[in-house]
Amino acid sequence: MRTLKLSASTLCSCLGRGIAAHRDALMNERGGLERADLGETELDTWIGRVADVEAVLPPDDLREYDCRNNRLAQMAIETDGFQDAVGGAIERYGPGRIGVFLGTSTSGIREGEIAYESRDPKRDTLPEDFRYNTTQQMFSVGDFTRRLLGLRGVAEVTSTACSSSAKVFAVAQRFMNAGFCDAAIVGGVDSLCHTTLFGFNSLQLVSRQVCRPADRDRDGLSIGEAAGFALLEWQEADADVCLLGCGETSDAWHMSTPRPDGASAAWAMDAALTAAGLEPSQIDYVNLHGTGTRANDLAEDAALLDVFDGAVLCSSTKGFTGHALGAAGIVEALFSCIAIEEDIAFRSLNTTNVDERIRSPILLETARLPIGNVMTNSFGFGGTNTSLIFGWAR
Amino acid sequence: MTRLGIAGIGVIGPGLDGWRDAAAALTGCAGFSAAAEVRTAVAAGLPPNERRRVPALTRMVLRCCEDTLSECSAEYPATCSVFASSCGDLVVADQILRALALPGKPVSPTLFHNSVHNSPAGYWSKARGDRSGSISVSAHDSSFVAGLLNAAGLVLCDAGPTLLLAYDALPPPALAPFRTLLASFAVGLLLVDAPTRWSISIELRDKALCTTLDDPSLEAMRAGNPAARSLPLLKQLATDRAGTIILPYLSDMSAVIDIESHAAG
Repeated sequence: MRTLKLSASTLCSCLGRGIAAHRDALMNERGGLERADLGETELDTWIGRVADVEAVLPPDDLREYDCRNNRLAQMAIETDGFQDAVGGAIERYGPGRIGVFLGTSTSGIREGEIAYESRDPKRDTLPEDFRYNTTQQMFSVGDFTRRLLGLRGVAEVTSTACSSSAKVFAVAQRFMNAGFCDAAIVGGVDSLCHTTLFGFNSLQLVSRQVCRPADRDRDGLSIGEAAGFALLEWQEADADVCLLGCGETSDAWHMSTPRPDGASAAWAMDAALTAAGLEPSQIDYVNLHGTGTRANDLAEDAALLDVFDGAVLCSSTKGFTGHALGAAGIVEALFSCIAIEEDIAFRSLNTTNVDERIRSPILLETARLPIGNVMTNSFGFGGTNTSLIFGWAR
Repeated sequence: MTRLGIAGIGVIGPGLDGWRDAAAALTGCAGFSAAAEVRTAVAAGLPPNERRRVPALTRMVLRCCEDTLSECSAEYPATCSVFASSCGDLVVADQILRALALPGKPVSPTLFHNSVHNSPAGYWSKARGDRSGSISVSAHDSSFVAGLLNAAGLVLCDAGPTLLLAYDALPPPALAPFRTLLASFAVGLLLVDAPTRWSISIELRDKALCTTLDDPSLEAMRAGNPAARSLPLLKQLATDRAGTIILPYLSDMSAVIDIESHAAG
């Protein structure tokens, strides 16, 4: 399969607005998690909130799509000159030949939460002004993005829990290969809502402290929100960071717990290496799924040992951003590109004592070394596993 | 575009418990009423304790997966899968949203993991013991075509035989006014890169075009559930004749599907 380059990208998370803000935070080891405002969430935990999402307003003709998730999407699209880059792509390919492939786990379900808070208990009815189809509905952010960017080609939302916006890279590659589009907008958007905060809390997976992936004292994840996008085109020159390979597998094990032996996750990593035509020794850094739950970090380490035999530097960046769920894939794909461009492997922020059962070399300090190829892992509920490899075009 | 073989078809809908029922209704050999009952089965393949946790929508999806592979399961022990649904499980979403509106927000952990859009995919992979890659997508009313494009993309990229499952179920009463569906419906296709009884090719057009059905009840079903948008394709397959049908895609596009039949005789 031909190689895809990332010719433009943009990112908003609790680390800031724009790629440069993220590069700066990662290189200066500055996290973005904050203790949750108790009045709002009634949960003793830390969250990664994007500042000023409330100030974004969709254009008049798209006002019916207004919700936190779509505001966050718009914020990212209006950052890093991304909208202009898409405008250039529209000139090159035409608006009907650029696909939109976005990942989200909960779409605009916050609007559903608000509607149910106002439910009439006697008649069991929701407020008449609840806009289900343009907010909570799963395709909402895909439809909104397509319209906001003036595109008229293929579009869909991939929703495979926390691997959603890693999968979109594989989907876009297949759509372009099949000729359904000539270029692709990939991305992921997930926003803070009660469903995920209290849902993960019910599974006892929400950390009471700031999340500390791979630490022996870790007690769960910190939930964050984020929006990120990339423009994918066929690679032509050598000086581009490219998507080199994707691997996708299923655990066939349990709905919310990973296979303890990491066998399917290892298979996804192997598949990505095969697709990229790379040996494990050619991967310079692995950006882990690394949620900070006890089960994930152990299972992922088992998989990593199987594939790399403890010989690759790795870390989770969720101590910086929290777990952005359906947006985690795009966040960490773009972090992988930063690692390659800056020759840096990120430290596992907030991790002080690595769990002695974890045997892969977890980075407790930022490492500066030549980084050619980076693997990034995204796993999720339902036993979904996706590994992506990014690197310089060859 | 390279032609794709269809190695299996499954349908679950009102009064339709499998592809045989659907083919009979689509060829006029049997009547169809959207008001008929949609039968759901037990989630075979899962351990009893887990079977009880499987929501009704997922049971319908699993039943349709089995129907799709009923005649070729041994031939294709492992397949990639594409699950396409406009809205996912709105019954589960409704239960979670009700819990979140209560003091203390007592969400059940089982409900929460059942709420992810890829929940049927997770149960299917486990029931079949299939660790192949899987994707779950939504494109609102165009979710069937979106799923079809994904499945075609997988087969064309040499990912191997791919099971496409499109489904949407009736929403619970509180959400029904906001997402109107006529009846629950699920359709499955097993796409392969080898010659089979049927083959199709897909071409996208930048015009909103649509093949409709003559039978008023079937046409109402087609318009009344995103998964049932597949009915014109299913009808052509049921007649075992070559032809071309057009499925609407997003608000301003369509998918032209050319069907060839290689049925013996």
